Amino acid sequence: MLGLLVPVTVAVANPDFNGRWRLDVERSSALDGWTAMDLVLKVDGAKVSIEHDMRWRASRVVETNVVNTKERVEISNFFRVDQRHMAVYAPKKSVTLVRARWLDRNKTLRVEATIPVEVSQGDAKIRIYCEYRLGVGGETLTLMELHSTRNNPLVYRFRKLSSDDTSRP
Amino acid sequence: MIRALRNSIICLLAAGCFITASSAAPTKDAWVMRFDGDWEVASALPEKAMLVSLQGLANRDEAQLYIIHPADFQWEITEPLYDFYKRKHGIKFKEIETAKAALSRFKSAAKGYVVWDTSIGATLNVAFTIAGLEDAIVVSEALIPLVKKQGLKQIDDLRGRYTGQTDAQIYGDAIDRYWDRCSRDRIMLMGGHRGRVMMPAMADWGIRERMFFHDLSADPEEADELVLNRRLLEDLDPGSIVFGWHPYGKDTEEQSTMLLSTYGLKMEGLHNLPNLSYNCQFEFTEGFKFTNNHHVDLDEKLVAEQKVYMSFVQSDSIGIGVWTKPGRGKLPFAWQVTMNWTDFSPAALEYFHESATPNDYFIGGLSGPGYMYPNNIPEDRFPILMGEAKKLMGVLDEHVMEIMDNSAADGNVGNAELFKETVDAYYKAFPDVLGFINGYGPARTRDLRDTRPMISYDYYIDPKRPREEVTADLNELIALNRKLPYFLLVHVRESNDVNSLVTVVENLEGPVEVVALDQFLKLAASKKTYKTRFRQADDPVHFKGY
Repeated sequence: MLGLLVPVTVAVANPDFNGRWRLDVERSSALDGWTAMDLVLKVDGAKVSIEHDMRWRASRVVETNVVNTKERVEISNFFRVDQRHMAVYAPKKSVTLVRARWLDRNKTLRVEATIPVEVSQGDAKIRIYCEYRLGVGGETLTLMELHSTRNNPLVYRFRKLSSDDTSRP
Repeated sequence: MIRALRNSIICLLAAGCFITASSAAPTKDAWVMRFDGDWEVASALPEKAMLVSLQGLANRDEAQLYIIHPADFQWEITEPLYDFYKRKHGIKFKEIETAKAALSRFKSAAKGYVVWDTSIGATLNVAFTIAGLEDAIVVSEALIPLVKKQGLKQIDDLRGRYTGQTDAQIYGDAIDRYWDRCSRDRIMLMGGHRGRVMMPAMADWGIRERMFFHDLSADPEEADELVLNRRLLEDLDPGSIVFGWHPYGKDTEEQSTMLLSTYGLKMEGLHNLPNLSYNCQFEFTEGFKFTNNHHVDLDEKLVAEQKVYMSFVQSDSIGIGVWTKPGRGKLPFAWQVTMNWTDFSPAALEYFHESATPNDYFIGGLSGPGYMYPNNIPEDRFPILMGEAKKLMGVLDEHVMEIMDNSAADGNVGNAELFKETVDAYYKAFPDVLGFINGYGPARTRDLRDTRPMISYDYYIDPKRPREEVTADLNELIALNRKLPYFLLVHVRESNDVNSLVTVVENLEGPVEVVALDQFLKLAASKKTYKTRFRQADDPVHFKGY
């Protein structure tokens, strides 16, 4: 007797996320203490590497978070795109528990993290909820970021750079 | 009969003169010119450089020539201060409309002219140095016919002398030739704008005071220039003043100010601050005394409630900022005063005082009797400098010292912290202040000793940041600092306007109260919900120093 076959949907990484994405400054929430931003995304099975390539005047900062869509991971010194004119600091050493999942038939990457920070009164936490949404056609990416401590969402819009574009922030 | 009539007329005339003399206010004549906003080397800069050099010479012994800049010039107060001179000092100004007329009027102050090479920017500074030492007007090649027609003779010609040379070579030669004859308690770092645009509006002051002019770099990567820069700073008298500003694109404000601070020197900017040669010759008007808008007495105690207390401060010399913009007075605002203007520009200080609203509160800074980075001040110089600062604060009736040390910062972000030793030194040097504030961008140096808190800025308002995001940022800080009372000190960059801040405050969440800075510090002393912290050795730094 044949058993019922139940179709199981397996989340499969979407390679359209791969590549370098340049922030459209005019159409995005204002950066603060940064003047330019690229995201470089690399999907490798369940792992997604999110590299932040940031510019502030003559300073360039490149920091990467590697999340996993199959399991929670602990990331040391999790990088977030902060508003640098606020007295909110990353602790010298910290570990952040990060969850990631594919949604919407792999057109959205959801990342959740509760990030420790240092403020004038001591230690605090910001719970961050992010969705990286791939646009139709795969040439645009929208990052929506919600903070537990901020009632205005942050919305960053990116365009994909061609693979031979060597410009950097 | 005729003799009697003549004698009667003489008596009447004499009586009329006597009556006129006894009722007339003392007046003084002076001249004024109006500049436009064109400082391009290829167009109007050479004429402006000539006129500014002429101003420095004309104002050597008497305040004769004042220059008004356009309303959008960085220093917004030239017109209000002109009105102040007329009104409070009784100056009667006559307007001079052309360079030719200015030369004609003041050429007797000059012994000749020096020609600079408009293709080599550094030669303008060398020419300014010569101008002060030799009483020369500074001209470009195109202006030679104009000054010759006035009967002036050439004193020196820098065309061709420095062709193909680096700035280090040029200034090295200038040091050999002129440094020995220049002032030793002041020097002109005539930097700021370079290349296509130059803005040496402070040159009149340097010329009057016979300063050495340069724009040598403080960047360790520019070793040739740095070694000359150090040589000059080492030769200055203790406690000297470096006027002007660092050269844009050659080094950073942080490097330049850190360097001079390591010698215990003071910075007074900017390179385009005009009219000091005129302003320095006035004192406060008779009977005038500074009285600040204090909201609390020095020994008063306040008790903080379960609220968010906010206070706004503007640094950056009040002459270039929000002071003249609409809305001032609607919110309590603290204003950091350039204290040395008691010597160089007392009328400007009196003008600010006179036009202050009850919501305007003046504080001392930055860091001392001039702009300096205190983490770098030599230990033996610190008490002497702060003694000067205390005297100035006494004259200006100021009870709060603002401190800033950006030596490790990256512009207005990053590490702006004070070492514990620096904080200790301030507490020791200023036993009678209400408290201290620290930072330019946000910082996290905080302390409380007896009743004197030290509070750093929790937020810096970038003038370009949309107000909706400023509101969201402040609300986020309020959400993160949940213990009440929360003390939220905000630094207002000079090109913000108060009206937009009123809207921001209206949209803040929670029990927020905006208070004057003296009240803020008294409240912060009553309930310490902030953590004590000093700069730590392993805090990230942007510039690692020398």
